[in-house]
Amino acid sequence: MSFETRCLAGLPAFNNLLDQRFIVLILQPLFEEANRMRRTLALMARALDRNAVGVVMPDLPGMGEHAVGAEQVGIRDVDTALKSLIDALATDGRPVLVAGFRAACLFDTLPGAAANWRFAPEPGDRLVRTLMRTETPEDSSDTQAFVNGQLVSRTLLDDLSRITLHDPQRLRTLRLSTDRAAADRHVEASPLWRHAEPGEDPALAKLFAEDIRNWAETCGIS
Amino acid sequence: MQPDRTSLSDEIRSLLSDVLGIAEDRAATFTDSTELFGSLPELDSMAVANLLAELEDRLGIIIEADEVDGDMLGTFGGLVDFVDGKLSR
Repeated sequence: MSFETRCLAGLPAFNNLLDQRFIVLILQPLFEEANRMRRTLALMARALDRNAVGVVMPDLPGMGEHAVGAEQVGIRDVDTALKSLIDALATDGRPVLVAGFRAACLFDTLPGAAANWRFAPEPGDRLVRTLMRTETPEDSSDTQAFVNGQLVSRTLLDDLSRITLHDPQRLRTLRLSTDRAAADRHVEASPLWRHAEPGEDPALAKLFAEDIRNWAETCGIS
Repeated sequence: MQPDRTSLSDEIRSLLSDVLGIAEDRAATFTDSTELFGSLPELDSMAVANLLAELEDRLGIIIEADEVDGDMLGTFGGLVDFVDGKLSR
């Protein structure tokens, strides 16, 4: 099964990962931000794939093309799905490095992760704040908000606004140079997730792939 | 330290270029009287949400819902004035 097919399926073909040194579990940004970053993340994933690194880039419950829509998902569903996935990936003892992007980092502290890598992590309350600016009340209800062109369960939004980022033990964080928050590395690039249209940044994708491989080596899991 | 108005204008031009996908040389032509919301087709309601979020992230300010109005987003100068006012508080 090709890398592209594995991604499109939304779930990994585990047997095809057996000859890889370690696995990178990519957690895409949440909601619309994923659409604007997906092309760059796909470039990054292919670069890792070419270097014998296993890559899994699932659609989380409520996100992307997952069978369960955001209007009926809670954060427990996301947590449960990720814990099941990482358990399955780590079955044969192969290390799994979790690479989280933006608010997906809220879910990246997983018991089976050998190391974590983050790009521009965003607290849940800021994500919800931005989402709610796009709400159209006439399309919303007491239980669901129509934000960013889709219905999202208010329970999920409430939960997201309350959960905070936890720093796992082996963590490396990258941010844009325009971001004032602390990071292990600040990089010069445009905030793709804010763009009006999806785009791609091949240089940033290459930088991500190299930084992740270097971090894995530093952590002794490569 | 609060940036002077020229530096702040340059920062906001760069930010508009990033968020709206406007070429930097086009953004460089924006003056205080350049009309934004309603005149820039790239600046739809979704883009406004992203613009406000990026302003908050880059400049460390919080923008309340009742502060977003025609004066603030009507012209480039209005937007710079708004941010300048937030930073000086």
